[in-house]
Amino acid sequence: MIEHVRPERRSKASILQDILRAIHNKGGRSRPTHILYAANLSHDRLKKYLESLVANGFITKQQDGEQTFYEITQRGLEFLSGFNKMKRFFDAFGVEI
Amino acid sequence: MMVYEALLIPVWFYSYSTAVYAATALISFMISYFSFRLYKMSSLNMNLMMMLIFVFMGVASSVLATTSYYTYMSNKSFKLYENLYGVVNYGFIVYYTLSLAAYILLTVMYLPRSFRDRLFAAYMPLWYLDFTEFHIVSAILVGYITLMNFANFMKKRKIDSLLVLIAFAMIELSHVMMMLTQFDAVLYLVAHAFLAAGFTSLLAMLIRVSRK
Repeated sequence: MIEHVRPERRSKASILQDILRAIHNKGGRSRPTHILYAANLSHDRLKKYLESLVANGFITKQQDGEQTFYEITQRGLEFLSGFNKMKRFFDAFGVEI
Repeated sequence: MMVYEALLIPVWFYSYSTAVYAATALISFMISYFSFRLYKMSSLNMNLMMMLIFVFMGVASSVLATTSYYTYMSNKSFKLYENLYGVVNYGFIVYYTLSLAAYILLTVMYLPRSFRDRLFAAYMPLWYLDFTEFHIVSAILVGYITLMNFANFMKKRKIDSLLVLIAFAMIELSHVMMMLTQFDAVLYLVAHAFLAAGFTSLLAMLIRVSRK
């Protein structure tokens, strides 16, 4: 019998981490298409999360001719390094962030 | 109706409770500061909520540390329930209100997301702002939080989760012992020992989590 296992839903914090990591792994500057595939998000959801990240100062939006790039900021790097600490803290309480 | 004899609490008990409440306040403020740093780093509201919960616990414990110290310094024995009608009474009201607010927020964090907004107001009646009622309501709320932490530990089997489970189980026992203080004054000491053990466990978790 084949057992269907529903994939675990990612939390908002995990999605933000995936986006920032995708940009970071591309040398700190990446195009939206790459982020979309790397973070495994739909176009609409990615747009929403990118806007939120820009508004909170984790990334900046840059225009290079026709192309749009997103660059990770110092704050974004701090989020990436502090994320595991935060995850462990909330995991200890059994609370989803 | 059952009428309880008010128990004579020896004054030296209050020096002990002063130390325990001061320590729990300090640990609470350390956790709230850690949550604040996480909030500054992430801008995620859950960190703000965690910070608020432990600020409430910290202020509540600080107030009781102050009133316990005040009682100790008054340097005389007196009956537990008579004490509620003095300056100390205001301290207890602040403690009841802030502790319950913290437990309610914690309970809300463990509710499924779809329930979080709707059920919040249902917890707010203030009829339980009295010694026994406060501990009964707290025992129910902390009991639920302990169960959720037990489920979390069974799922993850991690030391951090175990420490949080132990912490809330100890706080739960502390409230139960407080309810029973009316039968035996020694339980006042036992309740505070459980409280101290609970917050020590939270401190151990905080040290482990903040190390990495």
